Amino acid sequence: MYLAQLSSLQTQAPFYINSLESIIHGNNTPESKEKIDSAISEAIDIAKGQKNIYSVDNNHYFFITTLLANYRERLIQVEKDNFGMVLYVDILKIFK
Amino acid sequence: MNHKTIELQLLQLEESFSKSRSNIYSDNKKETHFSELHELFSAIKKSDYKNFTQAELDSHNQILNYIFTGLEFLDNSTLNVIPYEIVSCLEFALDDWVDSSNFIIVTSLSNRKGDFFFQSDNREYFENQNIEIGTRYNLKITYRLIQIVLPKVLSRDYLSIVVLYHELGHFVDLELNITSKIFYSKYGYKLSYLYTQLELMDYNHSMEYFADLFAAQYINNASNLYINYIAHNAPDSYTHPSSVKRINLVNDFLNGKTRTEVTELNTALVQGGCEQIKIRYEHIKIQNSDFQILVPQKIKNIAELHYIFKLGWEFWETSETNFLRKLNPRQKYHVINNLIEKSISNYIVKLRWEEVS
Repeated sequence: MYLAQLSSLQTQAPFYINSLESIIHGNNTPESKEKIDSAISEAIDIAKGQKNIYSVDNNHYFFITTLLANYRERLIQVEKDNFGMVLYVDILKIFK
Repeated sequence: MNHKTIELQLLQLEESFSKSRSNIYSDNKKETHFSELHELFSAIKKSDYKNFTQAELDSHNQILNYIFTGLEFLDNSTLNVIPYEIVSCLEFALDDWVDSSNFIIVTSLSNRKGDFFFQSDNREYFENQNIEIGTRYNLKITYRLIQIVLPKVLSRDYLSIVVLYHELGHFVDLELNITSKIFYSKYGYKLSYLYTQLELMDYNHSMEYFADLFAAQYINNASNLYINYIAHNAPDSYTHPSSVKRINLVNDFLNGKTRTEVTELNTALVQGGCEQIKIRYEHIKIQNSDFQILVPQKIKNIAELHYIFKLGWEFWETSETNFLRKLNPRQKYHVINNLIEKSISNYIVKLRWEEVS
């Protein structure tokens, strides 16, 4: 095979990078921010043991599990109603 | 990557579209998908891609790859190429697990005899891509493709084609993330290089077990009979359990014996609000089969439709003693394949007729 198969990170990360950069620069659509926030909330619930991995939303499965693998300790400290721009910047770094 | 990458992809796609324009598909969903891919291609071509950011270039590179792959599979799924009978059976199985109206099963015929696999854009990728193209171009792709690769030479060999039920199992697993969730639940969330080889092997094996059990729900042990032909003594490998382990697990499942592998998968399925793995075929007794008088089987329902593959295997395995015994091997092979194909197509035509009348 000429090339290695692309990983999920390679195929999916560009879309999340676009969304996160839009949020950081303030030119996102309300729907895209809502989806990202909902996925972050789910990741926080799982990190805090308040939700079970089996009931996670499959539409954001890669995003959520990437956060859990790379950022779990930090997620435990995040309050769900107050994300703050630093959080989006940190998450963007993971996907970059 | 810079804008020249996008430019080259666009030029290559232009060639590809010019060759596909005269394709005739077996259903409207494929026509729609082709048109949507072309609209998306045209929109990107007209876009300001020379001034894209790096992330925009990366996402568009993925989108153009997506269009390329879609076209490749559509080209191999035209009216006179697609193995319609098996695809229809797979669509019925798919419907038990996801809403099949959102999907199109497409095929690509390979020149290599062992090439049975599936690939698909996953749900998350598809949703994210639609958000991106919706925001940027006000476009949407309606259907997701389930892309199945099978050997050209075996595309109408109904004994080996049972492998596609196993491949569909892999698709369903990835769609519902069942074995992946079990893996995280067992071994925790870590950076990928921190998992041990044994942990990753366990994950690979659980994916194969899921696909084997998925197939067995519909076609009894037909998929394992084929494994026994092509990989009789295959030992454990990093990617696959040994053939003996796979065959034993399926046999135990079919015989109603409790196995932790099945319990683990069903527990995960239930917790995710999904269907469980269970027997979904209806047994047709070989001695009562219409094949005995050399006519297609009158199939009563979808559960019997799936079982037709196992019935074919039973006739093949006993062809030294059953009604086929006086035929030469080549004739036996053709008779069995023709009877299975006609049985499926008769049932599908009857079903479609009943739907419209």
